[in-house]
Amino acid sequence: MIPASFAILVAGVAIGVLALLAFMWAWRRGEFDDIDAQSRVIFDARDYRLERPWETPE
Amino acid sequence: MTRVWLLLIGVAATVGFAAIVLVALPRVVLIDLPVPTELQPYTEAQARGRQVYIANGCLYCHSQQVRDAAFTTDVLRGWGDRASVPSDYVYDRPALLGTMRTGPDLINVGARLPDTEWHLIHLYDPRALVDWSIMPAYPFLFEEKDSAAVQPSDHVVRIPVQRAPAGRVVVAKPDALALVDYLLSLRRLYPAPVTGMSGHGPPPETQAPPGTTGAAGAADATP
Amino acid sequence: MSSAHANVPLHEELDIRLRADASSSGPALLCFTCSIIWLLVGSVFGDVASLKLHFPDWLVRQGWLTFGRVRTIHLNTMTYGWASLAMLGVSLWIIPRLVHTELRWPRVATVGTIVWNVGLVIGIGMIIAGRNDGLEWLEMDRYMADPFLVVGGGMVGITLLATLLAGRAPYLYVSVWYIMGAFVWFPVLFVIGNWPTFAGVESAGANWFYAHNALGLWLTAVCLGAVYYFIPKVLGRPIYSYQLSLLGFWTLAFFYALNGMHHVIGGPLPTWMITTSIVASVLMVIPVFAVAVNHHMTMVGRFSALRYSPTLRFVVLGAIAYTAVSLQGTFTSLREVNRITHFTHWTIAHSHVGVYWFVTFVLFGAMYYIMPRLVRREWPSGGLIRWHFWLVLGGIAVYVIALTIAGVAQGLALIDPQTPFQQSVEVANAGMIWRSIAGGVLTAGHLAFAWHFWRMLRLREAGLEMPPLYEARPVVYSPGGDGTGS
Repeated sequence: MIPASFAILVAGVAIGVLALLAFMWAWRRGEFDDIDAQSRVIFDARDYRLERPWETPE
Repeated sequence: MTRVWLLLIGVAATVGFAAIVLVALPRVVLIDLPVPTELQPYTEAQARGRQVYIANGCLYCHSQQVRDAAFTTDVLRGWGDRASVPSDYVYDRPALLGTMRTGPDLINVGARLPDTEWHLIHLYDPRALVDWSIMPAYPFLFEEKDSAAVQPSDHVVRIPVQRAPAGRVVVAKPDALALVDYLLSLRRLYPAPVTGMSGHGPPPETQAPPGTTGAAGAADATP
Repeated sequence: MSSAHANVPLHEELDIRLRADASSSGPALLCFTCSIIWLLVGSVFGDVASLKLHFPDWLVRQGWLTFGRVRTIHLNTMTYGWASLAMLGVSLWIIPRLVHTELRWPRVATVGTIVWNVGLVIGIGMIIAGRNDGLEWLEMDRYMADPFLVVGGGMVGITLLATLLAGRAPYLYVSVWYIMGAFVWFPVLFVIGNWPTFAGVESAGANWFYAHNALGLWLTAVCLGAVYYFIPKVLGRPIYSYQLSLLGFWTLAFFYALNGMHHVIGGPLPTWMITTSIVASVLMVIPVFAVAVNHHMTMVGRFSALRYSPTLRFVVLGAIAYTAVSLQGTFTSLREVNRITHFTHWTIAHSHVGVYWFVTFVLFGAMYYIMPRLVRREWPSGGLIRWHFWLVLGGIAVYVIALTIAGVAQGLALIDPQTPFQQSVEVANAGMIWRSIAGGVLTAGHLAFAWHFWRMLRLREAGLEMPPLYEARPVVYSPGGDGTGS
């Protein structure tokens, strides 16, 4: 009977390695090339034109 | 499109991994749990009483687990003479470990308070016996009858006069009797079966003698 | 500044936004309406349960009113009624917006919502009648009620997936990951937690595997997705570090799922299981820190926005509560702390920082943003928003402080074997009373919110000319805006 802690360690490392490989593959594919544009995908032109009272100088 | 499927596979993998570690692996580890010879399966009445316990939410104020003496003071408080082990719960589907101690731990209440009448009065009106108690009263598990209407088969509960309903007799319904049957079955004082698992059961040489109900130093004999 | 679609003309961008909102409005409005009804029901049951802890002989003659059933009804209506349905509504509105297309199969989502509500009514009805599965957070009958939730939630999930696959956004924003993650995680967890063959301590393991992850991978996930959207959206500034949000999501997914056994520390489970959960609970500081840094640094310099935006008031306070409750959770999972706090009112205070101060506040904030976009008019009354905000903020603050103090006092009494059990009950009695007062204040806040929602929805009165809290400093819009606020 394999000690349970050992089984978890092995499984964790295996999943971790898979996760790293997935990450490397995504990087190669260019998923992280334009990270700033990704953060701005929620905005459209109207958001930028809106007046916000807390931005107006006193 | 690929991104979507990658995301879905990734999130499924994380929960899958956790399910393997916390649900599947324990299944494998716990499959050969020794069934203690001293522990009997619940009788029909006790099983019914267990359902009454669940239906009325007793587990939201009462736990059913004694924590290890090396970790904390459950044993010193008199709630058991050893830590609870997985074998104690083999007949519990599901185990009612509980997460609150608004009221005391009950895993050994059958040993601490083996008196049926005490439990019946306590369920009908907790403050009749424990005046500082905030436990809800359960009069709906009982029937209040005129003394003339009492049948020979009725289980009459002798409520203290100052708390009893005027001029009437309190009779326990089957659910109340079943619940008390279940509570009295809650005793796990036999020695913990030895297993190979870490963190469970003291080595056989240091077991407490069977049948002891509490250690010296407990500040209260009542719950 | 470049727009999200460099090659899409402006009027088409607005058109996408309007069409997305129009497509989701039916099902989202249904979700929100139902969620608020459940919020009121849950509030009443919560107040009754709280009062019973210092008036234990009140309302005891009938079985269905006993504390053990009333408390269970409160928990289930708030979790599966208020929070889950509001989250379904938020998800149905936000996914089309995020993937720049209309909601697909909206009727399926509507039917799914109705099916979910049917399941909830059956489940609550059975608890009233004394049928309880005996597992915390999973009390509703696994054969008669729970399948409706799985089917109903699944129908909403399918429409979101269909919408996602039809999406035309150049990237999947982080909120999409959190929300789609939640819709994958929840059914898996719910089915495992309800699986009928578990017995003994395995059932406890499966129970807490589900219950903790219902909090972390369902409630938290959707609400974090909402925070990641609303803070930058209202401010008009992108999230501080998108890389950090990537890290935060995947570490949350990986570590959170392993936390569950910290609910049974000291209990009769194999030590390695409990230790795994404690380690995972400590590792949670990584995603929590990532999220906290992102939210704070995005807000920094613009906290004055909280004066003007009800959305930000609720969402930012909710986000802060998320950091607080998570760090508190890490702290509580350490064995030395846990031996005092376990089994006490501390746990209840902690859970309400999470499900109320974090989840509920974020959902209030989200609804304040989304509703005007569904019904095409502003909220009618700035005053009611202020009443709502201050009542629930005051209520939850009193609740948490009172119960935390009561819990620590109770725990210290319990840990000392020379102290009679009686004392652990009596030191907490004042806290029970304060909790009832706090609960009353919270319920008043909910009534204000529900009334305001009703006015907006049904009375069709003209909304305010500008976003409700802007009257503090009136604003002139640049030409071309469609009149509604940020």
